[in-house]
Amino acid sequence: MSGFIAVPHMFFIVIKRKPVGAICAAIIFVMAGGAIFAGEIASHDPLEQNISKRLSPPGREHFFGSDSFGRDTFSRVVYGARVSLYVGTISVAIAAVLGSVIGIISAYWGGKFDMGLQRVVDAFLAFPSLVLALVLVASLGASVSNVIIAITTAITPQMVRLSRSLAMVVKEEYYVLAAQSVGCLSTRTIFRHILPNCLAPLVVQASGYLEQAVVAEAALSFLGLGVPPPHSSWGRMLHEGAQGYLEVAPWLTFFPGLALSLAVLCFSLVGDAMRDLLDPHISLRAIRKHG
Amino acid sequence: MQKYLALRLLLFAPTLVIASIIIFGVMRVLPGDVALVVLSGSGEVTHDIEQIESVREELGLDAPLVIQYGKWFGSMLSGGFGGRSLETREELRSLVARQFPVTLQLTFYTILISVGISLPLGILAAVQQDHWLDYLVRVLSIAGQALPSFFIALVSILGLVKILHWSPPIIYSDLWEDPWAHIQVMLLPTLVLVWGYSAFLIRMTRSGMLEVLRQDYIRTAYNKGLGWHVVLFRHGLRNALIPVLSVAGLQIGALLSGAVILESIFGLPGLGRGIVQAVTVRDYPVIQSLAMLLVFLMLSVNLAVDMIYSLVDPRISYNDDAMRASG
Repeated sequence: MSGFIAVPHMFFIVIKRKPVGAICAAIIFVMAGGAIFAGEIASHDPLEQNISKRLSPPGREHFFGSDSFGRDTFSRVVYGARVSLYVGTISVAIAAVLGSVIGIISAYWGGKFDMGLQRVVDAFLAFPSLVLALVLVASLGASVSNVIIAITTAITPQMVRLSRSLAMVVKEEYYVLAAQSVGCLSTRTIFRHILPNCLAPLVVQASGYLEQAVVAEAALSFLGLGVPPPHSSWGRMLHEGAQGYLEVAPWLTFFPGLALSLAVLCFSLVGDAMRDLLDPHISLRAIRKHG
Repeated sequence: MQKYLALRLLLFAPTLVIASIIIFGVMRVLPGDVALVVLSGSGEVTHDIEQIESVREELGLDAPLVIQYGKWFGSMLSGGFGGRSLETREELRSLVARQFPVTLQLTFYTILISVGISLPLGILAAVQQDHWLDYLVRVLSIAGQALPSFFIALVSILGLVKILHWSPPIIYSDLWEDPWAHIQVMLLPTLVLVWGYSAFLIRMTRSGMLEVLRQDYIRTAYNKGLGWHVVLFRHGLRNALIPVLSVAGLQIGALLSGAVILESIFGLPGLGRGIVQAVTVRDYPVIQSLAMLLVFLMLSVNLAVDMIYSLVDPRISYNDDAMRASG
C-alpha cells in the first residue's frame, strides 16, 4: 500500500523542489513518446517524395514546410527523434556499463595495472571528442552502428575516470574489507559490494552524457559523416537544410535545429536537477549557497 | 608546485605517444584493406591489381605495422607530418603550415574574449545574486551551454543575411596581409564559440564567487576598511578562479570540437575543416596527422591552463591534482 502513496508523493516533492527539471523531464517523455509512436503522429510518410509540393513553406498541409524533394519536414523531424534519441541512449548505455566496470576493476586491482590503464584513459581524454569520433567513422565507415561505436568510445573513458574515483573511496570502506575477509571472490566483491555503492552518482553522470551523445550524433550527421540517408536524424536534416537552402527555405534548418536544441536543453536541465536531488553533498552546498 | 608541474610535463610525452598509437591503430588495424578503402573512396567500383599495389607501395603498407608506425611517428616529429595527401598530392608539411595557424587563431581569440567577458559577468551575477541581472546571466549561460554551436551558427548567418543583408566573406584572409578582412572572416565563428565557452566559464565564475564571498576572510577584509574592488578582485576573484581554472581545461575539448564544426560551416581553412574533408574522401595520411595535431593542441592548451592554475594557487600539489583529475 505504502508504495502507492510513496510514488506520487515523491513525484510532488520532485515537482515542487525542481519545477524546471520536472517540466524538462515531461518534454523528454513527450519527445520519446513521439519517437516511439512516430508512425501515428507524423502526418506524412517521412520518405514520401512529392515534387509538385517541393520547398513549400510551413502551412496547413505541411506544418513545418517541405524540402527540395517535397518531403514533409514535420514528419521527418518526428522520425528524426527516433534516430537521434536511439543513437544517444544506446551509446550512453553501453558507455556507462563498460566504463563503470573498467573503472571499478582498475581501482580494485590498483598498482601497475591501474597506473597503465589510466595512462591509456589519459590518451583517450586528450582527444577532442568529435575528433576521436571522426577518426573512428573514417576507419569504420558511416552507419548507425558505427556512429554508436564512435560515440561510445568517446564517452567511455570519461565514465572510467568517474567510476574509478568513486570506487577508490568505496573500496576502503569497512564493509568491503569485511567482504574480503570472509573470503568473497573479487568478482563478488566488485559486483555485490562496490558497484551498488557507486551506482547513484554513476547514473546521474550517465544521464548527463545523454546530452553529449545527442549533440555528438547531430554533429557527425551535420558534417555528413553520421547516420547515412535516407534516415532522417536531426543533424542530417540540418546538413541537408544548410546546403544551399538556408536562405531559400530556412524552415528546413530551423525546425530540426529547434527540436535538437530543445532535447539537448532538457537533457541538460534534467541532469542538473537530478544531480542536485540525488547528490546530497552538492545539494547541501547549494542550500548553503542560496540559504 | 615545481614537482606538480614537472609531473604534468613528464606525462605530456607518454600521453601523446599513446594517443598516436590509438590513432594509428584505429586507422590501420581495424577491419578492411586500407588500399581498397582508399581506392573505393575515389568513387571507382572496380580496381585492378596494379592500382591496389601502387597504393600499397605509396602508403608503405607492405612493411610490418610496427615499422609503418615508426616511420609515421618519426615523420611527425621531424616536421614532415607523414608524407603527402593522397587526394591533392600536397605535401603535409605545407598543408599543416597553412591550416594550423587558422585553428590556433580561432581558439586563441575565443579563449581571450571568453575570459574577458566571463569574469566580469560571472562576478556581476554573483554580487547581484537573485537580482534580475543574475537571472539574465544565468539563463543566457544555460542557453549557451546547451544549444548546439552549429545551430547557433546557422541561425546567426541567416539572421545577418535576412536583417543586415551581410554575409560573412567566404575567402579566408591572413591577419598580417589584410587585417580588416581577417576580422570579418573570424568574427562570426569566434563569437559563436565564445557563446558556448563563456557560458560555461560564467557559470563556474558565478558559483566560485558565491562560495568565496561567504567566507570569513571576505568579511574581515571589508571590516578592516578595504575598498570593495580590492576585496572583490584580490581576495574574492583570486580564490574563485581556482575552481574555474580547474575545470576550464576540461572544456578545451568541447571548444576544439566546436572549432572543427564551425570551421566547416564558415569555410575557414583550419585543421578542423581539413580533417572533416579528409574523412569525407578517406585521405588516410591527412586524417592521421591532423588528428594528431589536434590532440597536441588540446594537450598544450591544457598544460598552459594547468601552469596558470598552479600560479594562481600556490598550494596546489600533485595529490590535489590526482583528486581533481579523477573527480
